[in-house]
Amino acid sequence: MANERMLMKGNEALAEAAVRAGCKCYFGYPITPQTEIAAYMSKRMPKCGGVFLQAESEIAAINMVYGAAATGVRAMTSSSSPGISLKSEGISYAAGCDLPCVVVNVQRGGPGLGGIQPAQSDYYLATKAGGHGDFYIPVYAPCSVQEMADYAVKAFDMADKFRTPVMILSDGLLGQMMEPVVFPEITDNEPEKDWACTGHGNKRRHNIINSLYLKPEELEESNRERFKKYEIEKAELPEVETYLTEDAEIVVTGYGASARIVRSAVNAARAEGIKAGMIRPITLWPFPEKAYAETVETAKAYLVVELSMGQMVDDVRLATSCKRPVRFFGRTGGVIHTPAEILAQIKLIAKEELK
Amino acid sequence: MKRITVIAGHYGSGKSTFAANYAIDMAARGEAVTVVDMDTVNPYYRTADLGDIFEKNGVKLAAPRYAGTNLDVPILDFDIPGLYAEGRNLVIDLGGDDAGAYPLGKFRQFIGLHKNECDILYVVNFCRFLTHNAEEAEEILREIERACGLSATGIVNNSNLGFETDSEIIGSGRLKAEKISALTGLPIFCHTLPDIPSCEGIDREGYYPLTVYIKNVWN
Repeated sequence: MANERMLMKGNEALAEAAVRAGCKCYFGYPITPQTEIAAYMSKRMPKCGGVFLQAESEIAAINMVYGAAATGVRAMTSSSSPGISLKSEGISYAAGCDLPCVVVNVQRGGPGLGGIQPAQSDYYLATKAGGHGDFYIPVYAPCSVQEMADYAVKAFDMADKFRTPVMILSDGLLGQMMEPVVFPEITDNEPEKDWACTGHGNKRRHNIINSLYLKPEELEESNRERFKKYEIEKAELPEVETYLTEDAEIVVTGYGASARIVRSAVNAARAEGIKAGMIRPITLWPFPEKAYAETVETAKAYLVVELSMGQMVDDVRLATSCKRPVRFFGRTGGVIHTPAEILAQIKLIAKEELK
Repeated sequence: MKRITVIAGHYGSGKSTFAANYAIDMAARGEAVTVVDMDTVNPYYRTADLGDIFEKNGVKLAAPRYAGTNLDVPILDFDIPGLYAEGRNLVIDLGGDDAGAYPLGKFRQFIGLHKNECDILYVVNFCRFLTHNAEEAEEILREIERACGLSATGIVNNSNLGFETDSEIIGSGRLKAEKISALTGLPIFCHTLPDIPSCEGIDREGYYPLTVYIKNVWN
């Protein structure tokens, strides 16, 4: 059944792809709407020689990931928004120790306990404030069940390549919906990990995984080194999909599930003679700035569409150097925008900005 | 058609879609019918979401009172004997897998007493990853039966690949359904055929036509 299409939920496809990518340890704690990942792993891991452990809390789970990653195995945890808040201390520690691991956030509405329906209000949490301290982590935003599988594999590869936690930022819609999926071919991209704590056997110096520095200068030096790595990540990692942007006067931009709805709205706008296009960032950090810069000359205005109160707007303003108006349309709290609502916004912009 | 129809199956096998169609068809024939949303596992895509459609088609819905809200807690604030006593037919839609079948165990004695007027249907979609063949599908069937302490009486073959279902998918699902039927000795209750554009050319003879109520939010 190598290339056979299967009907899967986004959460299941992500979990299965992670197993195929060589994820050997999964630690998690149930929360809607990501519970299928944990449920799937609980059934799948024992069959493939891996470990599934339901931790006593989200905090315990991320620290188990920290421990497993320190031994060099591919490890993953997943949760939904409030649970990711709890994990952010552990993510910071992993980043401070340059530990590769994958953290999945299947977003729901917030703040606080919020709701259980889909949202995209953890953009800042994922891209700007994943925990305390000076650090960033790569963030992938899939927009289909197929991409949930594809980017699960890529997340592990990039985590190992750059020795960093990597986040997959999904949402309740992508996690729960079912679509056909074909699992990507797995190429063995797991590098030798000579830094891992695997027991030195008196044959080498022992490896230490730690984020504590006794002298301020040493900590500063380590932060500077890590930021050199971020420059390489910024050059190599950005991924983006552009759709009908070449002659677009109104560029609509959204990521993840929102982008699916934006695409329908862009098609509807084109059918009415409005030159609309779409930019869909796939990496949210590093932000694919170039794709925006390339549209600035033809675009008259930008419209950011998110399931939030508008968290990606600043990044779009920066990427377009504030040369064009950047507007926002979003629904929040678990309410999902319709193509018609977005089309109405596009028409409004056409009326007001394309004179 | 029996007084009580229980719909069980793997997560995402199409239990709610089948339950809704079955109940609405029953109502269209003039039968009084109540759909019971007994999913205590997954608050997403649940039977109660189709409340408006049930109302329009004269089907009564019994669902946990917080279903569809952000307080979708795993409770059952109704009981099956009470609903049965109302005199209407019951279509009981369970949650997925064994986890979703446990709550039915509470009513095992009642169902046992009404065995002759009860269908317990196992819905299977062979395009789902964990029920890809007859053997895997049987494994999940047995887990469900153990969880609720009741035995299935028939197979609903609901093999589909969502909006990409075509004649090939329908054909291969049929073959696998015959295999699980032979393996378990359970009769095939029906083969379903969704009313979607990619299935338009398929001869409906011998299929249970399904209206797909769950739509993509981007269309």
